[in-house]
Amino acid sequence: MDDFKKDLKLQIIEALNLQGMNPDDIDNTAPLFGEGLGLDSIDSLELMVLLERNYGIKIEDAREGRKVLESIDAMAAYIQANRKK
Amino acid sequence: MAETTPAFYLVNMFNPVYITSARAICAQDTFSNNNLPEETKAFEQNILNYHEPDYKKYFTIMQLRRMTRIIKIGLVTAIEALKDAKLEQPQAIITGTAKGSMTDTEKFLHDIVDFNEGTLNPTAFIQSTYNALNGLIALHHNANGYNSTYVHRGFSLENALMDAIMLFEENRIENALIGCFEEMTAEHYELKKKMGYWKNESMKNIDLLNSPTTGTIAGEGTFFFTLNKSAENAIAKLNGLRMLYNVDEALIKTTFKSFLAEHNLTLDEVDTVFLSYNGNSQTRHFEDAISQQLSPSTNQLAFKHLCGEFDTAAGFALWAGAKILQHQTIHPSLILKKGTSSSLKNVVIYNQYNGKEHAFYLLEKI
Repeated sequence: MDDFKKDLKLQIIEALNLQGMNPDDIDNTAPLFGEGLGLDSIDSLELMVLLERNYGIKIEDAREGRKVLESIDAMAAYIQANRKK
Repeated sequence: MAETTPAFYLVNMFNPVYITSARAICAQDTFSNNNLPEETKAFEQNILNYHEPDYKKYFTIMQLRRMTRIIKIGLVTAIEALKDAKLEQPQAIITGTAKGSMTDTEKFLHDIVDFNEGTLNPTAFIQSTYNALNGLIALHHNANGYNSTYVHRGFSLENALMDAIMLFEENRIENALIGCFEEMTAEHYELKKKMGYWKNESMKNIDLLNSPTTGTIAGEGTFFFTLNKSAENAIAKLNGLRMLYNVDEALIKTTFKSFLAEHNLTLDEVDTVFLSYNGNSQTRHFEDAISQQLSPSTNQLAFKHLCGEFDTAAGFALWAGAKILQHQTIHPSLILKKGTSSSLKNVVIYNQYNGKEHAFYLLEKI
């Protein structure tokens, strides 16, 4: 699971062009939006695209999306349980 | 294919508008000192790419990560133009661009194909829209006034200026930020090469103006100007603008004379003329039609060997013309034919793009 989270962080860094950042800079439990990593609403759309392209996961419900994208831990758990590829 | 009907547009006499700042980023280092560098850069390839500034002085990493090249360049140019004019919130932001962010447009279009019209990245889509830069400038400066972008190929800058001039005439604004921006990508270069825009042979930019072959060299440029209704702190005055579409050289010749006459100028009184020679043997006759009429006293200048060709390259001449009038000196790299007159009271710009879109500008000293 740790390797998977590290890979996921690398994918996020690339997708969101988080220049100069490496996986260790992102806390697994910290919020991705707001006071944590400081991502915004456009980033949430970029992460939805990442989930669909890389794991075949399509999130239709915005409330569900908020929970899935809460932190790296939440994202990793959701992907492991719902991935189609 | 039916031939396009020749037509021309006129901008009739208008009250002068005053340029209070002018900024440029292009293939030459025009940004560091807001002038042409002592030694201009020589190129040996047919694309003259941007000399980019240090963006970290302007934006945090979190802000930079979403901006592509032309967005960063445009925003930095606009920021400095406003800073020079000591203007925090322009009453209008008006730009012209033929292609906008080509990088984002290409990424978005490729994604549509690669992902079979499925879920697409929002960032490339947002920034591929022509008015993305205008929106960012407005957000950055908290300016919620008039905001418009003109996408009119070789007339994009001229239409942006015309819009501002009309807003001034109607007393709707006192100041405005006007600009144009263009970038060239490798893919867009190849597409235009197939259409015959560029030279087939590799060309040194300093040899461009004497080239006997067809086509030209590609360039990039972003230029921003602040305009004001009053002359206070102005560096130059824009006193005339005329556009002509799809006309022959005979009409270019007569329009040039009538354009001067409308501003009470004779050929002998024209101090400096920018000519849009770009090394293309097929369109050179347009610039020749102007050049051959000019008096020996007039300085004849060229500029596309320094910045390359692009739809809004007239922005370079407008920037350089304003700098000439501000500093009362002409950079040697611009001189095609030195005139005998030492006066630098007026600058006429003649620009043609691809032999179709022609524009005359008249700038005057304050």
